[in-house]
Amino acid sequence: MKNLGQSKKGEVSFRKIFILQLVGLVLTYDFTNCDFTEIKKEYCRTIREDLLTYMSGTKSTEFNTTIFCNNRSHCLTEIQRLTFNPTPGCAPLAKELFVLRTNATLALWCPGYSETQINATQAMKKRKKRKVTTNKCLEQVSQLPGLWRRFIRTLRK
Amino acid sequence: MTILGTTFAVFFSLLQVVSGESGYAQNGDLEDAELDDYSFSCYSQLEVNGSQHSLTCAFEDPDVNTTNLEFEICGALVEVRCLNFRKLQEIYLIKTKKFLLIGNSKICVKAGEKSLNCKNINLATIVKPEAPFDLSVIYREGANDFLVTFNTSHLQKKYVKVLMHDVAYRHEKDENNWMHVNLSGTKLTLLQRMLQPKTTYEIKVRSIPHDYFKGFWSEWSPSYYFRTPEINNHSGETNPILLTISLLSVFSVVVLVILACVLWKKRIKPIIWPSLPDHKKTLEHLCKKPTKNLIVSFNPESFLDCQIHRVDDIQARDEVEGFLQDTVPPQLEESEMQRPAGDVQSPSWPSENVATTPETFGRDPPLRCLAGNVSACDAPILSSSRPLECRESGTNGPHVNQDLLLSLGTTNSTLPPSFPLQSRILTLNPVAQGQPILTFLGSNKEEAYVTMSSFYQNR
Repeated sequence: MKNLGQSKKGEVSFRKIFILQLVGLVLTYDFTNCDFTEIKKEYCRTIREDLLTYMSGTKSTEFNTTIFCNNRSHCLTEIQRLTFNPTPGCAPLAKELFVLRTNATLALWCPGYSETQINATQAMKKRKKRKVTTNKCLEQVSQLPGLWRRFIRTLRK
Repeated sequence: MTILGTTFAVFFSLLQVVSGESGYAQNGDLEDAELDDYSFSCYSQLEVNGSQHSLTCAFEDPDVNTTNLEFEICGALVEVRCLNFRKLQEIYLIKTKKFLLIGNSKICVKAGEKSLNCKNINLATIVKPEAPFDLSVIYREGANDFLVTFNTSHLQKKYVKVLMHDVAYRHEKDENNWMHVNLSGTKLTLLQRMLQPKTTYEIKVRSIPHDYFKGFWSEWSPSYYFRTPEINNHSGETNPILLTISLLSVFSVVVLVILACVLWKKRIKPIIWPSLPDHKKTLEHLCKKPTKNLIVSFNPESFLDCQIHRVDDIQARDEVEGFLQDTVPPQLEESEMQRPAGDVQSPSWPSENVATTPETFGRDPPLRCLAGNVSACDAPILSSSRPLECRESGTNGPHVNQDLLLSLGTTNSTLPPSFPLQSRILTLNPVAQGQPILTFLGSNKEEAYVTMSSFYQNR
């Protein structure tokens, strides 16, 4: 009986994970139609300084750059994933200024982005909050300046 | 009754329509005619107090009755939806960190719950920088210019860092004629020659956002006053140095000209334009006159009065003797002369230095010089293929070169007056043999010229 109960619990958890991943796939935004020029302006105006402020005190060589992107849409996809999606060991950075401004920029210059984010936020509410590990968050955020620079370089081509 | 009802209905409908056109809408808001009275303008100042931003709004019409009027901003805010302004006399101010600076915010003039006038504004496009300060002007005497420097608080800010500055200066007499200079840095150089001397100038500076932010000019900085010096004093201080340098230069040029004139013929001209050797003159020049009576000339008439002595003794080398017997005609008298090449004036010659030619005596008789025998004729020594040899003078009488004949003056022997025409040099050598020795050069005139020229070159 105990084994039967445990197996049923496992099936339920696997089902939830599967549904959540399915929701994530469905709600993944395509950044192809965004106004990349305006997004670049917003980044240069405020987001870049906010990222530097967040990363102040850390050395540029402290973390390795492990995430790369190929084109504008791919870069924005990776930026969105690292900025808004929580990772194990680092809770969502929703209250940070660079996160708020990144979200506002994408919502302003990418048609249909804000609706997608709202639905994704509601779907992710069920996930448990994890304890924030500063070093883990720094490691995650340290990937963002490189992705943004790569995004700007793609605009110069 | 029906007609009366209809009449009242039409009357009230007309009344409603007329009241709508008079400017009072159904929803209670004022129409466009009255909106102009509540027009306003705003500007933002970022990081004005640490990380706090400020937003200032004011009515464009100063006569507006601001009693019970409020300002409200909604949208593009962090964590809040709307914020209210604080009223300071005639302006409305808000200071907060919660400006998102992305997207538009809606700013409304409100009278209670009613919105009188609203505008959608992006706060990043209405930025008004803070006024520059610490404006100063320093006169640099060495550079003859004025260095203008000022400071701005935006150098230490995060967002609005890139500004364009406008420096304006004017003559104290021209109140409205301001001259403007735009620059991105905080230093400016004004040349003294661009300004009038002994004049007081007023200068001030302001800033405007230049990069990704947009907005308005800042307030002018406090004016700075400076006075330009006189030109005479300034130029007089530098004159002694320039005067000294110019005098030294002129003096040097004059000295060089004088030296050039003095040394032109002797030193400079021979180097710049060397004279071509004249063989006759060269030979005359080279041949020294050991005695007063020695005649050096190619003119045979010069030797009419000369006594030509017969040479009896001949000093000849063994190896040459046979050659001379084969080649020398019997009437010829030969003498040997041995002299080193290139050293015709030296009294001591190497004893083994003998020059021979393969030519026959008839055409190019060799010339040999004896060691230690000083010839009176400093004939040029050949460095070419045709060496010189002194020839012995035979008993039959010497052959005398019609162009060149040397005479020792007082001698006991005499020479026959008639001589064949040959290109030879006769030398008398009384030192070694006690009797003069006549030497001959080759009979070829061309060889003589060649040898003379090459001897001159060697000399």
